[in-house]
Parts: sequence; structure tokens; C-alpha cells
Amino acid sequence: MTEMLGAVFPLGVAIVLYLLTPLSTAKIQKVLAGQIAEDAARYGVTTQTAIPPHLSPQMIKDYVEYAADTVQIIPASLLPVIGAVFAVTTRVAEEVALIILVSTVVLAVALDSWMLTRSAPDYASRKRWGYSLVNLIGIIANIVGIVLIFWYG
Amino acid sequence: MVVHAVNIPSGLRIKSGIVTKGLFKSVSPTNQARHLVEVSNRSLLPYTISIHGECETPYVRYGDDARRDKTWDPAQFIIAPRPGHGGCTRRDASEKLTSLGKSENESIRTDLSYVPVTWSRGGSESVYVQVVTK
Repeated sequence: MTEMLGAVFPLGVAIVLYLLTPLSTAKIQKVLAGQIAEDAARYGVTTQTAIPPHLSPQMIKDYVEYAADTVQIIPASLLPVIGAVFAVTTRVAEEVALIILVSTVVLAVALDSWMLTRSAPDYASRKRWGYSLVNLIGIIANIVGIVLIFWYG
Repeated sequence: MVVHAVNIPSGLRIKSGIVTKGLFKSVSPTNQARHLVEVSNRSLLPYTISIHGECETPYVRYGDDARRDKTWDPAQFIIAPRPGHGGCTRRDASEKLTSLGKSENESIRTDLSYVPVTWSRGGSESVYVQVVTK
């Protein structure tokens, strides 16, 4: 049972990581908006001064969300990989661990490639219940991993 | 029979096409064909959209039995930003099409222009739809 918990733990951590992502993204957005407002005051920019549309605060929010998710795909996918390697070495649910290992790598590469073909607004618009596509896929994939380990382990 | 504009800002999508009631996707006086322009916005910026449609060949025209126009100029409209929780906003404009005879290779040009609201400069693009008339 202890070995099984050891194998499941990284998957649980990955879920928590995904759940916390909207908070960290919101924090970065707030910090960036504050910096822009500060610069605007420093340089005497008023509401009458036009900001190019592609540099507007709305677009920057999308850029941040896109950047945050693109950056985290590979590190976040390492957690299930660590769990799978741990499970194989401790001989807990080896077959399931190998399936998780391979599918995590394939999913991460596919998701990363797909994201790089999308624009920031296009990607950011595909969120559900406040969670982006990467967060949702990550949560679901890790829950499936936990269920598989408990079921076949 | 649907063409997407390609040189447009990220998050904005515009497509122009022909929709018909009938099974065969051709324009005739009886199959209630329409020229449909659909705009969807996945960005957080509102855009002003202008559309100009023009029948470039002799056998296709905007209208019905009562009128036949070479051009179509719907009122320009603003497409709102996407909702904050995700998704996209959609607007569309359409106009009836009719035919003046049989032809395999009729062309309709759609001039599209988009300008972010609160900004003076935007962009434009022309897309072409090929149709069969009966």
C-alpha cells in the first residue's frame, strides 16, 4: 500500500499544480496590469493616448495565460513520469505505470505542438469554468492515472 | 463553398460562403441560396466589421424575382469581445442570391475590413467564392 501511495503521490501533486494555475496566472496578470498603470503614470499617458490594440491590457492577459500554460506543459508532465518510473522500479502496477509513462509523453508533446499553432486569444478563449485547456486535460489525465493504479495495482 | 479570410488579427475569424436549402449547392431562383458572412471573435478586443459583396460574373446576382443587384452592402457592425469566462462571440450577415442563367464558374467577391474599436487603423482582405448557377 505504501508503494502504491508513493506511485500515486506525484499524480496528486500534478493535479494540485493544475488547480493552482489559475491563481498564479491571475497574480501575474495583476502584477503586469499594475506595472503598465505605473508606467502610464510615469510617462504621462492618459486615457486619450491610444495604445496599439496588440499591446492593450486585454491582449496582455491572453499572452500571459498562453505563456504560463505553454511553459508549464513539459514540467507538469514530468510529475506523472516520475510516478511511473517510481512504480516500475518498486514493481507496483508496472504495466499501468508504463502505459501512463508513454501516454503522458505523447499527450504532452501533442498538446505542446497544438498550442504552438494557436494564437494567444484563440487558446485563452477555450477555457471552461475558469480553467484553461491544459489545466483541464492535465487534471483529467492524472485522475485517470490514479484510478488505473488503484484498479490494476 | 466556404472561404476563410486569412490575413486577420489573432482571435478574429471571418468566413464567406453560400448556403442553400437544396441538396445541390448551386444558386438558382428556387433553392433560396444566400451569401452568408460569419464573423467570430475569440479575442478580448471589439472590432468594427465592414462587408461589401460583389457578383463579378454575369449569371449570379443578389436579390430575388423582384430585384437583382450586382452588389451588397450590409450596415457595418461591431463584434463584441468574447465573454470573460471563455468562448467566442458571433455575428453574421446574409443576403439572398439568385441566378440569371446556367453557368459552371460564377464568382462572388467579398471585401472585408476590420478595425479595432478605439483604433483608427485596421486591415482588409478580399475573398472569392466560386458558385454554380442553374
